[in-house]
Amino acid sequence: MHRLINRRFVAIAALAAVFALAGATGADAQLERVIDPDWTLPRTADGQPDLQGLWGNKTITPMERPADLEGRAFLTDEEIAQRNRQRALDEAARDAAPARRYEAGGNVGGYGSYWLDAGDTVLSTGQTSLIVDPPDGRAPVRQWALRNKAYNLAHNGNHYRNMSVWDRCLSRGVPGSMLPAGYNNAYRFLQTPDHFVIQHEMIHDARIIPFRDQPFVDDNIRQWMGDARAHWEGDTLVVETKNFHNRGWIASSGAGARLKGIAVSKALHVVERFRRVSENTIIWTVTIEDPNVYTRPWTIQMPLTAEPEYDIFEYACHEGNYAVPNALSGQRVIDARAAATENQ
Amino acid sequence: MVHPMPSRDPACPDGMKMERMQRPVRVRRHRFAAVHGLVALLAVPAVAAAQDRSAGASTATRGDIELRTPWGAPNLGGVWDFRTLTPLERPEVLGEKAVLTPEEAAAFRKQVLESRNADRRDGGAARDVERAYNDFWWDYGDSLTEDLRTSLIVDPPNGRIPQRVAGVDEADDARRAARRRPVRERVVFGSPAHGPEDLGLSERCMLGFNAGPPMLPSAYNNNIQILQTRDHVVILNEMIHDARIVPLGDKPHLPGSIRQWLGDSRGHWEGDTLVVESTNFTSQTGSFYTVVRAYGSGETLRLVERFTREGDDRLRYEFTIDDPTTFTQPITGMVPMQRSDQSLFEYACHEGNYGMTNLLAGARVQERRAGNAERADADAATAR
Repeated sequence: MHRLINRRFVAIAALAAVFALAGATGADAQLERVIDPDWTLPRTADGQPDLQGLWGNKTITPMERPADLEGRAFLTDEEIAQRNRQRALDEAARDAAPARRYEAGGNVGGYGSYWLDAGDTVLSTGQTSLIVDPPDGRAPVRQWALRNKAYNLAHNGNHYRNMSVWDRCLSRGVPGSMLPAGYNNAYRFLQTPDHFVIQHEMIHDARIIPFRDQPFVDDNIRQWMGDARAHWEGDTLVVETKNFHNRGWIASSGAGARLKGIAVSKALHVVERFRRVSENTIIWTVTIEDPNVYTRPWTIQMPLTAEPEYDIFEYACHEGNYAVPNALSGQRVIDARAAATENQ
Repeated sequence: MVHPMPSRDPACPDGMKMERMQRPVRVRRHRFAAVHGLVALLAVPAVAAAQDRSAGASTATRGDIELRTPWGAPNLGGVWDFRTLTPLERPEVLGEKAVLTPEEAAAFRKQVLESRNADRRDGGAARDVERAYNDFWWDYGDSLTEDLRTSLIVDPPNGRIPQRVAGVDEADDARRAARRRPVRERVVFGSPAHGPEDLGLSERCMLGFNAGPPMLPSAYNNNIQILQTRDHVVILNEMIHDARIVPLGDKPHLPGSIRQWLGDSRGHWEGDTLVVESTNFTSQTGSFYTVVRAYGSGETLRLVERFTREGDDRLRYEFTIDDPTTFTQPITGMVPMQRSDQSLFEYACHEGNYGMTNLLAGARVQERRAGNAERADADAATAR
């Protein structure tokens, strides 16, 4: 039995290595705009590359490549400038729009830009999508997973279990907790000789990741954030996460676009790579393998930018969170009205 | 069209009615305890699995844990267990007795374990149901602190929570009697709760029963994990998986207008002791607490915690509650912690937490019944 377990680990590790390699080839081409060749990697007292500090990844770059950019992995410098300008104009127009009174029962609007903190610029790499592999910049999602997602999103007033795990304040999972969202795109990294800690501002989850000399927990133990182990490959920190249960979503915010609401299966296996390439930039690469949900592994890669002045405060998710019961009771009112109309 | 409710976790005995004291949140831990227990059982026949687990534990192998970090600070890292049978306050019958003799300690231990024994069948069916949780689920530990003290509070010297400033108890009592918010207690008994905010903070999954700060031993999940870097210390409480990330050095506290459930903590070293000072607590918590009582408001609390490693496997945890608007003198407690070779798992407090909605629904049923009784009285009166 011991041997079987070991073989399975070896197989997984080998697969991970192959995929990581596939991700890495695309990677270096992506990084031209952000690598600082004259910069010296700082090290911790015990000699690890020092990734510590506050990092952020807010951006207007979409998760998947838009149709009009088909076949293009990068924007030109002019396109980058144009998109950033347009974003500023859109924001200004939204702020200048006169206040409107909405009718009860209709769309009552939402946050203005004061509340949102989704970034004002495309990624410094100029990439056209967060997904860099497959080369078309789109996630290879199986049809059943798309249908399942569509059902949940369309019926989220029917039961809280159809709602986003983020709306429910449970956890955004892995890699969901590191995907850009409308706000709270901040992470604090801490390193000890035997652990790597990622504090996520959103839902104040802290991933406390032992280095790999500590074996994974038993296969029977399944967690929202999975079970993670870290190790160094050269100067790149590699974090491997498995032991997920099948209740999470791969992405839970609007910025996840088509991936928002896509299920996670027990087979999910995530490999993240953190490579610091300058004083202000860590390249975060994450390869997602879940054969029940995707037809092949796929990879997101994006720079994390140093934000030393960012303050992370407590994130009190469920405190005063009336949205879940209100959304459910609102849907019951709609159901009752529909039933009354039918009975007339 | 509503989904069927998920089936209950088979690891969690069905239909358990919990004692009021640790109502809904307890379920969470039990689920973990159950999983944990199952793993242990499964690991016994499966030699390979057992080896894996013991290998996992071996990062905390006795004797080879560095006393210092690579940068020279005392090494407090690891998982620390603070279960104990020693009570927070000295039982009044013990008067000035600060330390038990070994014989007294043995008798005290025996008495406590017997009183908590839920496997007894001497109370009738109702008590049997209330005793649904036995020692498989509880995790109070089974020993007193090594020094055989009669209380975790070491100052005041009588081992008891000191007198409150005039007016504090009256205000607390009035708040509780009128069931006014904020509810600062961890658990509220018998509340006809109108909404979640009328229930206790631990019932609402805001703060753990034992998480404080300061941390005080309770019925289970009495574990913390400490991680250190040169400029931060992470204190992860197993109960509700809150991680306090404490900057070291002289970074100023947050402005007074920013208030947090866990306060705002800053750390520094005094010799080989890590000292963590916290302020900026909210009026939603008390300055100090037991499971069923909160004292005053946390707004003016200054909490000082001290962590000192004593040898390979012991950590001395001390706390001082300094809040002159609540107490006539500070409170200092000492809780010894033992190194644990277990790992912490996720604490999923709100996941499947039906306790909250069930309590609220139950309160509504009671109201309706009371309302019906009133109407019946009115009917009877008008019929005469």
